[in-house]
Amino acid sequence: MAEKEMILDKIIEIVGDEHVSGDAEDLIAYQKACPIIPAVSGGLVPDYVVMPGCVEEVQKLVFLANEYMIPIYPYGYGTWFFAIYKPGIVLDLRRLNKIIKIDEVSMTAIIEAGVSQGELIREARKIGLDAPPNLGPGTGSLVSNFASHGGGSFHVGKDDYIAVEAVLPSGKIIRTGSWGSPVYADTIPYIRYAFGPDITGLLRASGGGFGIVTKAIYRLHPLREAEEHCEYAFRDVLSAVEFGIELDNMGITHYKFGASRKELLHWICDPPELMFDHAEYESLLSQLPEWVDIIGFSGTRAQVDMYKNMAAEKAIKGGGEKFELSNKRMNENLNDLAMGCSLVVNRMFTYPAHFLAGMMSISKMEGFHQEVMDMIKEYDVRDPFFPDKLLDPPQCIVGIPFVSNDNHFYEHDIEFDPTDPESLTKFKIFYEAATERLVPKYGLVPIMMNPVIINMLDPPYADLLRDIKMMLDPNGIAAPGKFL
Amino acid sequence: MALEDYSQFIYRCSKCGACRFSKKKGEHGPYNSTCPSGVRFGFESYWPSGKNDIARGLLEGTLEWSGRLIHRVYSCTTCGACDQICREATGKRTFPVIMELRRELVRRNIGPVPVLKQARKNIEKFHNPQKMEHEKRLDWLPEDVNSKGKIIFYAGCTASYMRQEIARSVVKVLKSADIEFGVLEDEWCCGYPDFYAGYEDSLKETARHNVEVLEKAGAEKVLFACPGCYDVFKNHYPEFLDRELPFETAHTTEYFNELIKGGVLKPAKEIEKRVTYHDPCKLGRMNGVYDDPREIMRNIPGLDLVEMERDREFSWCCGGGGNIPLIYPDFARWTAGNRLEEAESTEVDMLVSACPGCKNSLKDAGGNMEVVDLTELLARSI
Repeated sequence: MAEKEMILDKIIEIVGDEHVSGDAEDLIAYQKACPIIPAVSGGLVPDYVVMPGCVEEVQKLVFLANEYMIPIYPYGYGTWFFAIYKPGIVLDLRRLNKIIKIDEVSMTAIIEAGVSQGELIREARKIGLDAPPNLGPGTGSLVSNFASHGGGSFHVGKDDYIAVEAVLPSGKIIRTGSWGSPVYADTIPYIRYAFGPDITGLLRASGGGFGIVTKAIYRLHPLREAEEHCEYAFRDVLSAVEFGIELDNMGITHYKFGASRKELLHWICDPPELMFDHAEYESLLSQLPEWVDIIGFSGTRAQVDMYKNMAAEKAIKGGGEKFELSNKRMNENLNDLAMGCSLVVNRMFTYPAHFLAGMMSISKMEGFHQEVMDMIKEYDVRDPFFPDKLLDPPQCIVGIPFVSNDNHFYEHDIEFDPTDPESLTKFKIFYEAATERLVPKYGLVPIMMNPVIINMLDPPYADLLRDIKMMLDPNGIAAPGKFL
Repeated sequence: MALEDYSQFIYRCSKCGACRFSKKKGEHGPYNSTCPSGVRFGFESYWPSGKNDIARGLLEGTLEWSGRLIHRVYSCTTCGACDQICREATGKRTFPVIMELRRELVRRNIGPVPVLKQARKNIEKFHNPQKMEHEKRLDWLPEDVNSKGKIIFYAGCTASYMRQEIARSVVKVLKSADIEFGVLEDEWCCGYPDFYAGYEDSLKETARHNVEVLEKAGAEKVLFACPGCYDVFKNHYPEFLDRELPFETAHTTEYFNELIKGGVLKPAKEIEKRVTYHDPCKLGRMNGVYDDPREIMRNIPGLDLVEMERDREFSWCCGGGGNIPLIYPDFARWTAGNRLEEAESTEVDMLVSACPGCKNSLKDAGGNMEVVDLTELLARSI
């Protein structure tokens, strides 16, 4: 206890007493973000929560963590799978909330870790720029999204993070890419692959395990003359994805993603409370097609018109039909969703649990679907809202390819009732069994690393990750348990 | 109700962050901060989603009911922005959880903060939280106004004692439209401070008295210049009295706009000003009155209305809600200052609101901008 107070005093010396708390009333709120997602293990209460105001304070806190061998976990806006695995310090990075610079020529922004996607958009648009469309919630931190491989990072066709600043577990501050050299930092800081291996990539998705990312240089694009979206309905997931591949090959889309009707409904349902009304829900569901592809176009007016015609031709050839909603408010939500940086996408975290999400080969999807359905019956996982009926999967999203090949982002959600311990336990058993059985068989590459996945890796690959971790973090203070 | 009755909100909160930012539907951003308490104090526990974590801990017994909860729970300005956005984005609510935390703190004799206990005593003794003499409540009132009538103007404590210019303006506007109206001789505080402190019992007595005197005065319609009074009467009195109100209620902006539309009231004098409008939380978010004030302004000749970035349901609080000026005056001024900066960024001559409490808060924050109530502006135009 005395040591805890002594450490608290030392933290206060670094950040001031207004920016640190060891009170249970504050700490409990950092126990777990997304508390409804039982797939995230961990979830211990930290000893301290600290809000540093600059990178130097982060550095001093990392030195302190090393001195007293205290785990230290970075925290952005908490919209992703945050959890802590050993009590220690949570670094709430939201005081690092400056957009340091928006460069109109290179079309890049230097942002601190506490800047949300929505805030960057607000500032960028003032000077005729825009942030890339991103299906992750605009309420999340862009830097944390990078560090944790969060929602937005796999939905876009290119990697919009060019370089980052991070405090390594040793306390050293590094900048990556051409930003990493004073020779280039003021003139051309936006070359990611600058000096040797891609250190930016090393820090991506490391969840704080390889360092605390405090800043990023993020790619922007000009505000387009025209930006529009359209939707096509498909009878099955394969037709929908094949259409997506065709669009990709044509290179005409700004973004695209597909959703099963159930996923789509829980995004656009209005008022959202209707989701709790069995009859209304079923009625609305029956009006939706099995799959809907949502496609965004941008460019000049003429370009967008041409792209839309080209897409329409491909869609119809592939068995698709133009999808339009008559319900005004649902249409508004669809528009909100389709325009990116959506608010309704936050519902994704609200009702279903994330079951399995990651990159998957399109050829494996059908089999995967079928087996999930069998397992749902086998494990008697029931829909919590309407307990009289079995969940009717698939409820999933198929995102655009991470790279232009056969890999697609895939997400399959299972609903459960977070207020019902029985439902929760049942879900956890189902989740573990499905992970063990299905991931090796169908090769779903998860969007975040975890200790279970580490055990599925080729030993030399896993060893390399462990060696890097050991080299960077010999005291094991950097977000232990996140994935190593 | 008890905290566990809100489990569906508490346990389904996924910290998606919708409650932290405002964003207009169908637009690719931008996002603006909405929660004064979260922005000012920073830690998760000061944001609406953090309150759900606190509630979860209290329900599960991993957190104790203690005085340390006070600051986290009572620093909410009760502006309702989080609730508005959470409801729209996810179908859930945040505000009922925050209010239930307050009520439970009071039930357990932990809350509210001492200054609100004093405010309650003041309301009991003086019938206003400011400890002003009840006998002087009508000092602002011109002598020729009745105490009875089908239409009664309920002035409220802030306009009666601190912002009398607003109360006088209401009277001027009503008279200019030849409306027969009255002002109660024995009007008591509506109970707003007690309600937002988390008291339940005292509001019953307040509601009973106010409704009784209004009935005796022959009220068929009661007008409020204060959105706080309006909200408590309209949305909470029926619950505390266990019956519907025996009269209609309307905010002055609703009623005056109705008069303008009907040709009864004609703003004629030009006011050559560029103004921006601050939506009072209890008028806008709590009661959906956004258009009437704007329509009134559009009917005032010469007035040029420029909207702030955070307008209507996404309006940033003035800092005057939830008893914040009484409990944490510095925080109230900080919140109002934030709003004044936003108003100044629109390069207007004047900041207009429709709430005596908002005017108080915005003026207390200092600055050079002229802050007026819409009723004053309307009175000037007549």
